Amino acid sequence: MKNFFRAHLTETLGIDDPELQDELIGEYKRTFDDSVTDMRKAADAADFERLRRLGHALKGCALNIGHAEGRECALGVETGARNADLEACRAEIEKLAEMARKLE
Amino acid sequence: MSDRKYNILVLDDEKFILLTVAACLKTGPYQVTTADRAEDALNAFKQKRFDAILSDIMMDSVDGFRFRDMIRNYNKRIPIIFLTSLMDDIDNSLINRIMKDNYSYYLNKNFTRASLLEKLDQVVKTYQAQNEISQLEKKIESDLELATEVQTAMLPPWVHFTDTYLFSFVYRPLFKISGDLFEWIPISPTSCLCVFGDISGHGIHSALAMTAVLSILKQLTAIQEPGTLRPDRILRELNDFFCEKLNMCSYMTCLVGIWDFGANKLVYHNAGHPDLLCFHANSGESFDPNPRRRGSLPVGMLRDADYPESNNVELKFTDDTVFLAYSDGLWDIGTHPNDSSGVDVKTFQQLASAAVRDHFIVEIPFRLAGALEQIGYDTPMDDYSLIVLKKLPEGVGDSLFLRQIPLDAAAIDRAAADAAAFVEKLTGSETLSGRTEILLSEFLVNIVKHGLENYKKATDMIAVMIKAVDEGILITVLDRGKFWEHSQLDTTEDLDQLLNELSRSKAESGRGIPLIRTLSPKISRRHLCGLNETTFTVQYEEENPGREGK
Repeated sequence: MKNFFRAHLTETLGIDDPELQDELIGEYKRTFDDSVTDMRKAADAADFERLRRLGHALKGCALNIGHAEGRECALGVETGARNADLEACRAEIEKLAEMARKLE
Repeated sequence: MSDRKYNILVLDDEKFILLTVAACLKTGPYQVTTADRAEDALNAFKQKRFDAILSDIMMDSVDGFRFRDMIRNYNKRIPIIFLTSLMDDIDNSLINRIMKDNYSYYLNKNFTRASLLEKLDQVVKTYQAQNEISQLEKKIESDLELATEVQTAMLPPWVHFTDTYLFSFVYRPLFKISGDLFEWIPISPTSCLCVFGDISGHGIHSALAMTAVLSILKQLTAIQEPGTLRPDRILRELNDFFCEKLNMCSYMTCLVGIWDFGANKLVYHNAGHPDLLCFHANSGESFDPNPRRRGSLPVGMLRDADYPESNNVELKFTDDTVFLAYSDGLWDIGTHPNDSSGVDVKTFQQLASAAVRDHFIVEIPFRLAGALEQIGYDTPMDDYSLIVLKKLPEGVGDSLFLRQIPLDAAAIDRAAADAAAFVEKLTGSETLSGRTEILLSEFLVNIVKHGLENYKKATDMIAVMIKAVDEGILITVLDRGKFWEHSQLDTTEDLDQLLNELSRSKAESGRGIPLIRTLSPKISRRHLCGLNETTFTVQYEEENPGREGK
């Protein structure tokens, strides 16, 4: 994934400084991990508004770095929360958790 | 873009987005300030001049739209680009909310560096251009203010009394400045040259030409012997000026007249201007001073235009003749913004006849402008002016005190003293004389002068008329202060309240209105389309309601 992100940062965003790329990718991973953790807590509390916001925010970050699968699942959380569908949210959160492991 | 760096403020509650945008813009002509809370972004905005803002919409505390409202309290036009997940979020309601503000834009969060730079370049350049236009507008506005001051300073005062005649006028530029022209140059104590003109177009172009024409007229009259002044000669000079110096880029309809109020004779030449309207003051009846329609082409239209002496109109007039000059902008006053049909000549003449018959001459231009407004003609499409001239009856000064007073404390004191002397001579009453002096002084210094100081100096002349009435003395004060302009005061209580407020807040002497009220229990006030009329009756002593002295 890292190479994919590096390529995206270079080609799409014109960021070709390797150190800066590492910083951005590291920040994305942190954001991703934190989001998954927070989403789980929000799901446990059935806090749909919080879930919607978290899904929306992660979706923006994923879009920004070109992470299509991440964006799709984050959108799934946002949509599930909007529909008050806890099961759908939980399913998308687990997919995101799996993705987070692959980002390591 | 030039070498300068543009300051960009970025607000997003996701640190990752802030880092990405900052990294993206690192190599461009941008200086980026980031904030992850709206409050911090607002503080940064207050401390530095930014060229654009990038903001997320959905944030935990303050959302992007609320943040925009906060920014708009400080800057109405700085561009704000909303970063959205366009494909997923955008719908009509979101677009509508973004576009509700004319200086808001949006950009998809999966932007590329190229699309981000393109958007920033677009909004920053637009903002810069708007700022430049805004500064230019301010400069033009400031220049126009100066031009207005210069132009009005070059015009005669709105009212003027000599021992033998008087004039007053209303001058209404469409935009601040005007191509209408009125010049009055006294030739002798009983005669004067008057020029009424209307330069083609309006605005700065015609106002500059108008100012130049006024200078030329002053030069002409300064270098010529008064006896040699003739309307046709003046028009030839003006035509040369327009053709040679202004290169025929403007023309001017113009009426040049020399009034000899001693001999009751007028000689004038009309170069394409609306002709004079003449009335008998006693009956209001009008008459045509130029039935043969003598006249010539406007000046500046034809290099070799002739202004023959034979086209001068010579008129012997009676003492009660009222002359009304105007510009054709009068015929373009509409009843609403898209209407330039204008009032018809017959209606206007009827209004003028009634005004001439029933009202004091000084008020006539204002009464006519007001009458036109009252019947719906309240939307001028061009500059217009209305000027009235009339001979004063011989010996009028024995029974009527007429004085124009500049906005100057010393002049007011002198005029009040003169008025007192006039009243004493007229009535033989020292009491009335003293009351008149104090009342005038109090009213003019403490009320009128302050109102006028809030206005423009161009209208700073105050006209005062005093005459005897059965109860005592009637004092009429005419001023053009804006201070009173829009107040609707129909009752004595309202008037008292206004006068008292003015007196409390403005009085220099500390006496003001209570004293005026004591001196004149009968006060009335009217507003005549730009002219305030206040009348006071100063009564004889109660124990001696007849004449005290005489």
